[in-house]
Amino acid sequence: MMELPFLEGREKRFWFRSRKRSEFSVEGPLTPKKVKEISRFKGEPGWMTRFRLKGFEFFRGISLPDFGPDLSGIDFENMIYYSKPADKARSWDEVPRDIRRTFEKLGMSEAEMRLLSGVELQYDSEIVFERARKELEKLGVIYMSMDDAVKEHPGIVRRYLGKLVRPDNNKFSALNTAVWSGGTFIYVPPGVRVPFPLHTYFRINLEGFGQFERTLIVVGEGSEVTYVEGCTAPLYSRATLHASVVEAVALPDSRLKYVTLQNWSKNVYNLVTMKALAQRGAFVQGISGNFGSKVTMRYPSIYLAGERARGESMSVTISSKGQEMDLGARIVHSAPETSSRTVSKTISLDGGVSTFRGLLRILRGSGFSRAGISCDSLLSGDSRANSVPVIDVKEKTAELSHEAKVGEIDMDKLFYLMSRGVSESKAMGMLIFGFVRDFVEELPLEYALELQKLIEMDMGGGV
Amino acid sequence: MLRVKGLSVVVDGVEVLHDVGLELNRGELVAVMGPNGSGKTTLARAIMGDPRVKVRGRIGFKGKELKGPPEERSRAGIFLCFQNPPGIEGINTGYFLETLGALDGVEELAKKLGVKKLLSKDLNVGFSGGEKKKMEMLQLFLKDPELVILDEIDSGLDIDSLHIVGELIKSLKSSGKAVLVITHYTRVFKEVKPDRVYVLVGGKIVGSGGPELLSKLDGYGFKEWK
Repeated sequence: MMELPFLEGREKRFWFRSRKRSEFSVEGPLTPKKVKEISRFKGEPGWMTRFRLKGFEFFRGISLPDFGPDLSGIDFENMIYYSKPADKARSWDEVPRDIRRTFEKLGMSEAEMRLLSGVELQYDSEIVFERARKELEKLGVIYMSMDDAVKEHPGIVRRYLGKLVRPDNNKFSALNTAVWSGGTFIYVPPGVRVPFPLHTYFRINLEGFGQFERTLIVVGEGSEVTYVEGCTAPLYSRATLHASVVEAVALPDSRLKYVTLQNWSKNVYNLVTMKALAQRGAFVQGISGNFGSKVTMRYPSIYLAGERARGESMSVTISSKGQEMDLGARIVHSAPETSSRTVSKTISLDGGVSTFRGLLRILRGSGFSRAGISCDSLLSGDSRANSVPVIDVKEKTAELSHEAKVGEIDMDKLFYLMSRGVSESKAMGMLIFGFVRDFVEELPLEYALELQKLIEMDMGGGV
Repeated sequence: MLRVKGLSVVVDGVEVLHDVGLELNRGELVAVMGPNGSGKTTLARAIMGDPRVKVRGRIGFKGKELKGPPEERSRAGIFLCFQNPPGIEGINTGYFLETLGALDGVEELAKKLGVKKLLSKDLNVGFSGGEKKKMEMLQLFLKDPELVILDEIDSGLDIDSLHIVGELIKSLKSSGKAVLVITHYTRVFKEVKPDRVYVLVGGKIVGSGGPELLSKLDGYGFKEWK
């Protein structure tokens, strides 16, 4: 499925062995005692326990967001907040058939399918991993699970964790602070250009698809890294609430490209809090593809806090029947000559609802900054696309462009393709693919190909 | 092969075709002639199964009533050459032709038609009128259908291209295909005469006959039927 750029041929091998189960789980209603239990079970230092408890206090005090989709279906009282082994499908048979079929169509081996569907197996791709790890080690790059980083690199973690996304940012960042597990930690020392994209699946003991992931990325001065998480294949999850937190700091003159693709099964509330900071001359690029879930709320923020910092946010969102996708980039310029670009493409099919809730702020003191927002929607059937951009410019010398387009699936094109023997769903897929091509070109090739297959076979809802 | 009987077609709430009937057999060339706005393209869309047109009456193909969506009709062996095929952004022409199930011969055929350089572009995007027509022909050859509908294939063509189209129609007919040519000019029939001509005016078949109708149309146009 995914070829790694630095490997010749197909010398990938997969091993599978079932993991010994150490049963431990924490169920709602959540209490400080249960939060402490999680921390103790994970063998964490005291500062992390206190961090979690602070998160819990805020979680208890903050109400649900007063905007966006209805979240009243989330049952905080009866939820499983932590479980080891992770609360994923226990057997292949438990994975819904349509998801299994999609995997098959994507041409994945059963091994890969099992991994992606979260069936509890350990995945060691040793050759791949060893080579990557050696190379990263040579460069001084730290790339590991957040859980390990807390113990092995407490200095860096404590310096940055919870600073950009404060525990009290919103109810779900507070909850994540209290009960997080899994997620990625990346530290790139100054002056290092990481020569290949870091994929989530490099990590041994992959816990990347956890319920309350916590990710922290620190890119040193003048360094460069690309991080890719998720996959286009549908992720089946038994847990219905996924609330992750991502914090990324790009130190002066560094570059961070963050690619995230998610295709949760349609029972999931996917609520993401993500913030990135770009210091002087740094460039942060956030690219996201949002396909599955019942409800997604995701408003990645980029703070352009140093002179000439650049930020770019590109997202593609597909919502179909029964789905509500509420997304939008938030970009804040607070230094001179900063620039940003927001590109949002939403596709609503078959009764799906997409909302773009972008925010652009150009604060006083950020003279001669530039910002562009472009927001396109493609609709079909009785779907809806809303656009709620908030633009607040306090600098006269700032330059701003804003365009928004709403279009429907072009029936002439659809008829034309169908008249050539292409099925309706595939024809829809082709037209959608054309609509999102700019986005796809930003993706690593293997993701682009997968995405194309996914759209062509899966996104052809009713017209 | 094709039997259209009592066909009325409604587009956007307006009845565009009224009680149309026509017949077309294997190896025959049939012309539907009519002025602009007479409903010619609507007829082609109805036969191809455009979901936007509402159809009353009967369209029979190879003894069965045509009812399914366009892709089903395509698989059954019908091909419609569009008058103005739309540009499909983001879909590579070469890739698209391969998805039509024709893995071999695409390049060779494209070379023959002089459109090889188009294979790397997006389908019909930025193509000239002539290039679009050639891309339609290329797909026609790849699909190798039994019934071919050519909608205004001659519009915007120069004399050389007209000659090529004439030759194309001739070869389609002689290879046993049923060919329905929809046009408002008679010039495309210089190379090969139709077996039957239907005159479509105001959404109705107002006249039919043999190739001798062509000279009448050449002389007087559609005035006589208006």
